[in-house]
Amino acid sequence: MSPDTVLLLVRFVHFWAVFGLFGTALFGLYAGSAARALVGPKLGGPVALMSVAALASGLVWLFVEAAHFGGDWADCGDPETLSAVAFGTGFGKLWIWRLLLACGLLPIVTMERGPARDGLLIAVSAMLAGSLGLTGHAAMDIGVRGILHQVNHAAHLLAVGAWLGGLLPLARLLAARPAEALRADALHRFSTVGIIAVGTILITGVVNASMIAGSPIPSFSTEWGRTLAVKLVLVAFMLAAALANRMILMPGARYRAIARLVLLEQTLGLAVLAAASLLGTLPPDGAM
Amino acid sequence: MTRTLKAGAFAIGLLLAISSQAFAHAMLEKAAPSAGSTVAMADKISLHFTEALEPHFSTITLTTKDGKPVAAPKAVPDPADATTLVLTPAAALAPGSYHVAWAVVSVDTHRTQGGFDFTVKP
Repeated sequence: MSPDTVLLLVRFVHFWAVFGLFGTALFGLYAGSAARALVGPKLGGPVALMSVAALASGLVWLFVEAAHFGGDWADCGDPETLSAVAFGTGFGKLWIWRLLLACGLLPIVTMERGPARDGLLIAVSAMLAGSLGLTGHAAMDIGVRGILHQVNHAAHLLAVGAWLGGLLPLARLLAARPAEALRADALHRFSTVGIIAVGTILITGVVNASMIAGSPIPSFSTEWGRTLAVKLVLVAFMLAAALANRMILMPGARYRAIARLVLLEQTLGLAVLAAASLLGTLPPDGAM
Repeated sequence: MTRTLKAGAFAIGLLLAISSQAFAHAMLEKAAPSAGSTVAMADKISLHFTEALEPHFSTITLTTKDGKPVAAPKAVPDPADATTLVLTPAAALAPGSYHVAWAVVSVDTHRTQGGFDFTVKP
């Protein structure tokens, strides 16, 4: 496999872990104390797994990027190239900080459950998710435009984490068959946060695509444009599922159907992350 | 809902204000000597890209028509402009045709490469 193919896989795993962590940690904040008490003990395993995956994929990403920059697998074992990537490139300087942050996750997940652990998890995972917006295509602009692009991208990523990542604890909560009042309350709270997240995702997504390619409408003449189109269709299906939940299933209290749609949304969400993993590596203007 | 509309209108306004075209991935925008040109002399090869470069991973290789490398220190960015990479051969170029091969990594972490020929007049 070429470094570029492995880079896609590493990006996907890293996105999944970082967004999953942020959304899961945030869920504890807004879902209410009863929901938190019920679902918290069931999330220890996934949170530990995502923390380890975030750190491991972050580390591998740095090595694979060295092979990508150098154009050869041999470069990821070459200390000189690695140190040039880590300390001599914009990506590397950001990445060292992100890896240190990810290391910080490990002691945090071993802490006893409580407000301190929850707060630290939210803070660190938010920085990990948001700082992804400082690299990639958003780093292509300079000056004020560059800062706007990066801030916009960071907001996009945090909103994605809140929505996609929040689906995991929500699914666990629904599977635990909570009392009627608790279930309705937690769903309502998730739904409200979801609406804010989706609004943010749509606005920042339009801005991001426009800043990268000059237009929010994907061009079918480039691979980047076609990948973006696929991503938008997937997001549209996710939105339809979320709307069906909010407008039809929640008022009807049809909880088994809601649980199924939440699983469908998670699957679509993973496909969106896969599309995003590819998008970040493609040239938006089609040339190579 | 009107708040969403207002936010949307604001975003679109912001877009129009900033949507002068920029590029992700560094593409060669301008070269001196330019591709396919014939020049009287060339004491340096200067390549201007659409995006700022990572100097560690950005190279220019100059070879003669028969594939022999031309001696030159590693290409360096223009101190005044991170989007321009300059190769200065150790000695003035003898008349003949040359091939320029470039491979660069842009600050958004993407690797691009390309090449072109030019000729130094006898």
